[in-house]
Amino acid sequence: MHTPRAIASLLALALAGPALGSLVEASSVEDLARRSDTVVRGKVERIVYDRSADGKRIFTYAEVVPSGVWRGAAPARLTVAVSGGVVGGIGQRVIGAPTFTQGEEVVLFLSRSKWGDYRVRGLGQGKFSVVAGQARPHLEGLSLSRRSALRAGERGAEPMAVEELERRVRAAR
Amino acid sequence: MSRLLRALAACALLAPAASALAFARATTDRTELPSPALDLWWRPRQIAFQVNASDFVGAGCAGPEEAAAAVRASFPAWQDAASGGVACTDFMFNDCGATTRTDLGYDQGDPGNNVNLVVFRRGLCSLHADPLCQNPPLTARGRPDFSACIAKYNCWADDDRDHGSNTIALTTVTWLQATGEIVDADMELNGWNGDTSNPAGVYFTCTATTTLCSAVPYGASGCADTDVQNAVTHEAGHILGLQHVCTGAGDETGPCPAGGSVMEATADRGDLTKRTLTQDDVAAVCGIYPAGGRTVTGPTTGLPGQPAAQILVGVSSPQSCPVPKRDSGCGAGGGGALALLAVLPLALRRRRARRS
Repeated sequence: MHTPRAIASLLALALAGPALGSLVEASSVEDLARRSDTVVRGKVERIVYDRSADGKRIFTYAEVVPSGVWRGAAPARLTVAVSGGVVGGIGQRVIGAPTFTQGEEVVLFLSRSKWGDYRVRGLGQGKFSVVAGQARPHLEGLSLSRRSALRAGERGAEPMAVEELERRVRAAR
Repeated sequence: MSRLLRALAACALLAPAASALAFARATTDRTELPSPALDLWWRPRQIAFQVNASDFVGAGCAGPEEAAAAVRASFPAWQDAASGGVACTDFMFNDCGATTRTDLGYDQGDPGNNVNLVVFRRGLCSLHADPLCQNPPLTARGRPDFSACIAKYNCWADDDRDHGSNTIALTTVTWLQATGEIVDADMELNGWNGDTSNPAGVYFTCTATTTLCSAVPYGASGCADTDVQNAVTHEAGHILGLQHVCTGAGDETGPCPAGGSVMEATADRGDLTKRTLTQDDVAAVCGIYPAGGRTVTGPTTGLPGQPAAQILVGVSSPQSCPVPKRDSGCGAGGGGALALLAVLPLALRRRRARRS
């Protein structure tokens, strides 16, 4: 029953070396797209914070309105859940997790959880900020493996023109 | 060694080559006030930590005790930072002993119950059929809260927001947003589940060897895969308030140190280099927490050499070990007061040694 997960885990470990505080592999844009349920370009309309039941952990929910769906399907408004945030004067962060700013234009590589919200693929690798036509991944706090070899012709999660990012996502097979 | 001499040593380390330094400091959340973001820093010069390695499995370390020992061996790299043979920081990680606690984050209502925790998780929460893991309780905003599942199984919450199954370690840092003062830091290590046929988690090793484990390492011993001390020394840099080198504010890139750094954002399997601080790492810890001097903090862009409007914070009393609530007083590892008694002579010896 859990064999596919086990195989995926084995493959991930066999193909890529470890990294600290982040994913084992440094993903290519194309690989992020392949592993995502949906890839959208959009705007962060609203940010709300939440706490765990014991009050010790803080969560952020970014409500994003897609202006373009580059892969998969997406509703007119979606909620992206990440750890960390600011509540009651207390700030918290999981190192390597993406953060959001209201009004920010973003490209997001997302998986849909069974609770209906979305998770960013590959921590900060899966969140690009778009400014003046340039898309930059949120690599702050991320550790990436140097052993991972990208497929020929693919590019890692790195700054690039948003048009190139879209082309790569749409072309990923 | 006088305080003055040690402070001068710290200054000497930093002064001549400030522009060549590449370390970067972590900051408060840039999306919230105050703006610009503030550097993260600890008020106490001695912070307390506990280790939960009770669920560690694998021959890569000779049992939970050796895995915990490898964690403990990681922190002295930072607190023993020296320039020209002279100790240049008095920041210390005080070992409060073993614990069976699994909870992360910061309890604002009961600060004395918080602990800076290093915990080895075992296996993926999603593989537990328990409703606590499959259909966890919801938060006030109707989102899943895996805390109860984690507390019951000490598992890696791979269905949670940022805990991908192929993540090795995550550090959660909590601070006061108004000042950037860190009040809690916890480290989770995504440990192997002990299952060779359906493996999950990361194979941690303790052996300082250049012999790599095989690509599928489960059960191997005497080889290096994901070295505990290497990983924890790096994460301890985050706990101190450091950011990766070669990164800057937000999504920008920054300078990289010529001599390398524990805080580099990359690591190969079998990497042991991050067990040992480089000149840049020493400059970081001694620059922020200089021996006998005040803690350096203030608004910053996150880049070195731009410490605008610094606030200098005086040294405060050491952080206490947590008062045990979930552990029984005589439970596994003897957390709390017994651990404190065990550690006290070590801490006193260390202070005496620094004064000599």
